[in-house]
Amino acid sequence: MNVVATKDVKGPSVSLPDASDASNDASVWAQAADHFRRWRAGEPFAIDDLVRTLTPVLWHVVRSYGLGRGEAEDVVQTTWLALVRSHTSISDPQAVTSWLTTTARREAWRVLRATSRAVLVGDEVIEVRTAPQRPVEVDAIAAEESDRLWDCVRLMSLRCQALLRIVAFDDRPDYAGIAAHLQMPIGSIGPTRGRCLDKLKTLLAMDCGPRR
Amino acid sequence: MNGPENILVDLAQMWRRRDPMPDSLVAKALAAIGTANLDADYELLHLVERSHELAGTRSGVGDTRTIAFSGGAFSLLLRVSELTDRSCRVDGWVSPPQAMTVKVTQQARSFQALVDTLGRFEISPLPTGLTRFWLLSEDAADESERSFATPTFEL
Repeated sequence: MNVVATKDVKGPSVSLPDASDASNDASVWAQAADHFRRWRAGEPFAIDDLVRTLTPVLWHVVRSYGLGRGEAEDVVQTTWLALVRSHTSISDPQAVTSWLTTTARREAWRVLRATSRAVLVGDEVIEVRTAPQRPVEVDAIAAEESDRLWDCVRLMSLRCQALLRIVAFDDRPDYAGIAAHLQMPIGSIGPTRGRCLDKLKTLLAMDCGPRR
Repeated sequence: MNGPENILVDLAQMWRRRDPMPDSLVAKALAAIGTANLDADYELLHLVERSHELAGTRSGVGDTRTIAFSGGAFSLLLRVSELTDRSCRVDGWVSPPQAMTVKVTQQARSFQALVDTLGRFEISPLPTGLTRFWLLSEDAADESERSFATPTFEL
């Protein structure tokens, strides 16, 4: 099995800006549009670049819905197959990322409903991965910051956690889909997002949770 | 300095560390796409349910899982019984019942079986691993009966 390290999802021959570094979401969109355009122009391997660029984003969007890891993997694969089947319906290559995240969200929602679970996010959202690897030196400060952030995020409502996770990975989210999923009026998504961020900042200012 | 957008970047970083994408996911997605060109005439089935019954025996041998897929009015139910830690027996049911050919692909390997008129089939032993099921309608002339494929999943 071809194992691809999470931190290094780049293809061997392409020099992408690090797709796992979402410090520049706009460039993820731009890269995705470029790969998609090349694929449709007849470069068969451009779709591999597209998959490497956007699969991490789809993973986090789908997991924010509270699906288990196995189910989330299936949803991501189904989403990619849907793209291969339906790509002709995407007229503007710039729209490929939003098409994929919207498709992934719908599929995640469908799986939740089909399995008769509460559509509202469950506790799995805060499922903790056991023993995150202890980072060394360079990563240490970022890791400490990340742990502190994690401690604060866990104090928030599941709805806030889900909403923040979606917007952290999808900078042009489909508010209608999110509203349906979180059972909120569409007009309240923007204000809720703002309130969740404010609350998080307040928690951070109060230095929630133990420092390592 | 610490505006909302910076926080979002930090949050993304945090979730990436706390709940990372499985290492094999990109490879699985690429494998699924790789075979997708073959299946233009197949309707894709969606996973609807997975359940797991533990037999209580050692090392998972004897465990049974049920995996259900559906697409429109068609559904496929798989009952997977572990034979060893590397192989299993699959009993399948299609609904509505119809004679079909079922093809199972795993990386370079493939297996085939016939679905009887009651909609049942069995394949045993089948190696475990990433797997895709393809169901070919026997009566291609009948428009109401089509061919179906599951996504790639772990057996």
